[in-house]
This record gives sequence, structure tokens and C-alpha cells, in this order.
Amino acid sequence: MNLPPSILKLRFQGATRGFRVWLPLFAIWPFLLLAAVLLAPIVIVTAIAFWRSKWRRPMLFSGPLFFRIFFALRGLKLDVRNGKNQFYVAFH
Amino acid sequence: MQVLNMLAEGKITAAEAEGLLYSLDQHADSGEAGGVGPRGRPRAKYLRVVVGSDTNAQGEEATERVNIRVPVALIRAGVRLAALIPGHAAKDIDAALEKKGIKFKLSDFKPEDLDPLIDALTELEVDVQDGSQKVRIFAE
Repeated sequence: MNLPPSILKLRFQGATRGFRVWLPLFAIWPFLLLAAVLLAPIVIVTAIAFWRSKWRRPMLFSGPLFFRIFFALRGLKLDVRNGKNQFYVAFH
Repeated sequence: MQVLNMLAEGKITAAEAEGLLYSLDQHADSGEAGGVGPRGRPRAKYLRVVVGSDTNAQGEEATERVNIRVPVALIRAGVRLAALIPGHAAKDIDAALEKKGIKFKLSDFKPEDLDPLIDALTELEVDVQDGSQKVRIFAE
């Protein structure tokens, strides 16, 4: 089973100034779960209401897909350096 | 079945047959879990793109470098996202891509097409070197 990313590391480094931050993504896990539980009935009812529309599939599956993309972010790393400048993003 | 036939013909002993059946079970289990790609290689988990070199011409640490690691699961999710795009919108995207000279039909690409592509990624390694600059694209 894939676990969602728990920490987002960000680092911006300029020639003179820079900052680095660790964002605790695990803190939003409960809120995401709550949002999923609360929004699921609304999404299902809306999808049924638009059953004959071409937007039915995107409406029904975009929620689960959002979670799939969020879960798949673990392991993503971008590290770009140019001289003393650096841009670094990593999901752990 | 072949193992049992070999046992019946006396080509192998019961202990050897048991060992062979156990190995076959282990192999089948790992295949079902999706952990093994083509030719028994482990399936790729990440696509890596590395541009630049570790050191420059003077042997010092390189100052320009791009290092990207994309999880294969994210690529899969992206393809599924593309599959959700309604038909008429996908056709508009196809037309826009064609205008830019990119002959890729998003509407024809299905999530099922991705598995062979990911299996092929396991064996992919692009290595381009020009002087001290190096571009490497590989799966790990």
C-alpha cells in the first residue's frame, strides 16, 4: 500500500538569501480524510444528476484521482542548481 | 504439470520436485504483486532525469545541475487524469499539439497502454555526453 507523502521539503537559495522549510503534510491527512468522507455523497449525487452529461465521468472520478495523485507524490524530487542558486522540492 | 510428469518419469526425485514447485510458487507470487517486470527484472519505481555532471573540468563540484526523480505511480495517475478529459476537450488538445508540431493523440492514449510502456522503462537508459555536460535518463 502506498502511504501519502508525510513531509514536503522546500529549499530556495539565492545568491545572497535563501530559505528552507519542512512542511508536515501528515498534519493535513485527517482533514483530507474528513473532506473525502463529507464530499463523497455530494459528488455521487451530482454525478447522478448529470448522468446523461459528458461531465459525468470526470465528476465522479476526479475526487478519487486527486487522492491517487496526492498519494503518488511521495518520492517526487526536483533539484535545480545554478551557481549559488538552488530550487529544491522533495516529497517524503 | 511438467514437474509432475518429470517426477512420474523418474527424471527427478520427490525432494527435487518439491523444491521446483516451491520456486514456481514464489515466482508466481512475486509476479502477481507487480514487483517484477520483463525478464525477471524488478519493475521501475522512479524515472530519473539528471542533467549536468558531479564535477566540473577543474574537478570541483559542478555548479549547474538538474536532478529530477518522478515516481512511476505519479505518471500512472497523470495518464488516468488525461483519460478523464472529455472527448471534445481531448480533440481540442490534440489539435493544439498538432499545431505545435507534436503528433501525439491524447484521445488515443489509454491507461491500459501504460503498463507495456512502464515495463519498457525498466530497461531504458539514455546517456548523452557533450564535453563535461551529461544528460542521463533512466528508470530505477
